[in-house]
Amino acid sequence: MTLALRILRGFLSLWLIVTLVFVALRATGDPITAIFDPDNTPKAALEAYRQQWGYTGTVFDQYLVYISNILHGEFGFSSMSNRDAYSVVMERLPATLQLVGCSALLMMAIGIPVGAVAALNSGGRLDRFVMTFSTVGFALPNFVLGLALILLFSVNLRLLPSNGIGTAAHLIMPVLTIGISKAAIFTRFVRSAILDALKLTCVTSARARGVSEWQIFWHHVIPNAMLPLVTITPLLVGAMVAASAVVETVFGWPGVGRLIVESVAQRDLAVVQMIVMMIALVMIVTNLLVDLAYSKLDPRTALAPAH
Amino acid sequence: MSIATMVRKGGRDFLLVPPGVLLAMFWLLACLSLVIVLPLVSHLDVTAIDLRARLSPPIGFGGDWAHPLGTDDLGRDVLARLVASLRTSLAIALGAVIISATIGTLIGILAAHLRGWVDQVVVAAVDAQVSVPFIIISLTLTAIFGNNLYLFIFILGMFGWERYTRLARAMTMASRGRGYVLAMSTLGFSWPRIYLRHVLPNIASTLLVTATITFPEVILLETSLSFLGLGIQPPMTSLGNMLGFGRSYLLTGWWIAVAPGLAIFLCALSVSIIGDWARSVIGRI
Repeated sequence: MTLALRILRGFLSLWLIVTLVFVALRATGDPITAIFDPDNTPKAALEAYRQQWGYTGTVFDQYLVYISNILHGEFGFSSMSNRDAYSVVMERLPATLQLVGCSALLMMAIGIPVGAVAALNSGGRLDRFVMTFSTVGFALPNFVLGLALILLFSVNLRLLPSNGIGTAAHLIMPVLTIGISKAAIFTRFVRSAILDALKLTCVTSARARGVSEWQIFWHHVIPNAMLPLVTITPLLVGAMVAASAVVETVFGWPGVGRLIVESVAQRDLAVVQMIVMMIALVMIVTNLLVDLAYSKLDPRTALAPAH
Repeated sequence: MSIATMVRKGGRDFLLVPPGVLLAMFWLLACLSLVIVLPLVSHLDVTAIDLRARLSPPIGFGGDWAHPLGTDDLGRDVLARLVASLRTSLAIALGAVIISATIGTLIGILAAHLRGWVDQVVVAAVDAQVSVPFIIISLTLTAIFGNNLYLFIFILGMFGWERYTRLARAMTMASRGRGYVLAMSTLGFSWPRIYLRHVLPNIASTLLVTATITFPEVILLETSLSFLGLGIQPPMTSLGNMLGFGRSYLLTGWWIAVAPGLAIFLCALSVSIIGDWARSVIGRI
């Protein structure tokens, strides 16, 4: 697929999601009466709100207004905090980025060396040990792991704060929770990527030429193992965003994840739709970047004709 | 994967079940029988309140046999609530997997049969579904339509449909060129009959393994949403709901959260161990 076609497809997915949100919002009935009690609000006020948010005219007119508002970054008014939804979400963003960034680093710090060791000992005792831990980590839900950490470090040992943000100590447990659970998945991917790379003919031929195992590992195995690992990045970004909704709630971390949970409970639709579209945008852009990186990393895909 | 190598080492016979898988099967069977038998034997009252035994600890931590797993802050029996929650969570997850497997497979077969624009739309929908984390989609639907049980089951029943669709579509397309399908269509059998009676049994094992692998994820999704207070609502209980409630009592009654937490973990672990094993067995047939 050419670059233009990929970008077009990304836009198509984004448009599909925006449209689905619009359809779902309209399917529940008059959005104004969902927000205001029609019996206790003057008719003129309702009409004024209709004008302000573009809920007038045919459904198609409303759809056009809706799209143009979103393109201008106007997602509506947060009923929960009485402010612009855009600024409500944006002020929560740094906390989530900090959490997800640190967790991603921890995930790689665990996953790459452990996965490599398991692959190099494939079938051995160490490998089986690592894979058992990976299966356990995969079945351990975020909130169970988080509560277990709170029980251990906050309730029993009284070492770490269980709730809130501010110091580095606050960051430890949420990062451990997301980092460890994602490392369980990532380790498996690293292991199988390296195992696949070890089977390549270039590795066999390098070995036949008498190249040292160390050099084979760095010059042939690692570059080839990078390709599948790059492909799963969007998957892991999505998984971390999803995990932040639960983990931020467990640890009282004031980020976007907790915001979406609060907003859903309060049915603050403006904030929810803003977050959904932001996540969709991030995921689609990540996918696109991965596609681009892939053709840079693997010259074969760039040279191969489109199919 | 580790299980597959263990099987291979254990001999040529792949039906040799490794001990870990046996243990997982045993645990699931124990859970199932507990969920089915216990309500028949004793009256499970999840809302019965024993005010004199509030926050009583489990046996081994100073508790007595009246409440083997202790009680919560209202004096409700943790074991009774655990069994009831397990029943709700397992039943919902099972129902959801059946719904998504049926719908997903049908869409996949239809796309493979009709081809053309229908196929294009299905592929685009699968792509769109993959691009947004499912929990975010379920949160959005809950925000828009409000929280109720039917919506919740619908949401869980959507989970993973694209996996079955993808598989069924690819395998149906592949089977169209096979001799038996050509023979059947030449003999004049109708397409629904060929697909449902002949193609489906041939691809069923792969779909079943996918369902096994999806099952723990559905349990985790259900418990996550219920934990956040956006799934099963009281007076019904589910494992996630119970854990979310027990979260407030970590200081005074840790067992309220530990019991459902362990149950979720062990059930999800057992099903994924069995799923991994099944996948390795299928892969070698």
